[in-house]
Amino acid sequence: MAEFPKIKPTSRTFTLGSFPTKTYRALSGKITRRNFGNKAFGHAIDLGFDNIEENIVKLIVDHYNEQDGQTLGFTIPLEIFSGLDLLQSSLRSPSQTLWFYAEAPSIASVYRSLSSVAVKLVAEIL
Amino acid sequence: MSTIRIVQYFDLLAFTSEKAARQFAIADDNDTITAGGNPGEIRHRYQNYFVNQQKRRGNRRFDFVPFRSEGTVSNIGGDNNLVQILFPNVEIGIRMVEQGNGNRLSRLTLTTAWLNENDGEIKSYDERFLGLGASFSETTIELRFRSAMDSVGATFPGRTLTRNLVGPLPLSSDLRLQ
Repeated sequence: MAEFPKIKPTSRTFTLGSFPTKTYRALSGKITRRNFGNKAFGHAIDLGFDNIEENIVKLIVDHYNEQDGQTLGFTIPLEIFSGLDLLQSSLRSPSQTLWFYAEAPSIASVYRSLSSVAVKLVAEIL
Repeated sequence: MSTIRIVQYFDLLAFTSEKAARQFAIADDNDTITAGGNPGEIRHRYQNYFVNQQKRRGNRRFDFVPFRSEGTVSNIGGDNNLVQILFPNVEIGIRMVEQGNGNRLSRLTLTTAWLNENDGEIKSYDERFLGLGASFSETTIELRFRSAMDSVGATFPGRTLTRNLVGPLPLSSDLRLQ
């Protein structure tokens, strides 16, 4: 379980997970929700790494390949949450989950050896 | 708005060889797979709501497995019910089928329990089924069951049918008594 490379992102967005629920809405408008489990899933983090050198881009590419793409789960380092204090613990390791690549990272070449990388991660229940 | 929380407890008594049952029960560290009362019997106990937790219900322990149940509850013809239980295609599911005689004539008690907001049990009911077989796909294992009781069959005893004897009578004309 290789940890995600220790790189500070230039942008990051967190989305909290959902609980497994189905909703039935009657003709009257009243809704009934059925909850299928007691743990949230699908927490998401979108990371942007702008104008980074090739050798740093390679760290992300290598990590993606080591995880067999979206197959293997991993943890994410504190550097991703740099600057956050109270929120860090609950966002970094949601209960009983591991992080996975939600999709393959995209790399935009900016100038010579500089590139911008977008990474989307999702936390799934083990 | 109403919120419903339901946990299902899966308690299966499967039949296999005496040696396989003993090995299977010993291999499980969590005591949710145990030897049955007779040689060759093996019991599996799982629940599908409390993620990665073992739940104790009475003196029985149920491990978490993300299964789900699908099927009929009842119909006007009084046929017995067909229920499918879907398991993810993981090792424990494959072993349950392969070392359980393909889920043939296994006995399932499926308990459905309603929970309050503190995950305490409010009420529950049990249903009992007999194993019919199983099938595999790339991602799931389907166990098929029928309820043990059937209203009309060729071997039905030759007696007068009254509500006192058999409860609500089937409304279809498909009664065959011999």
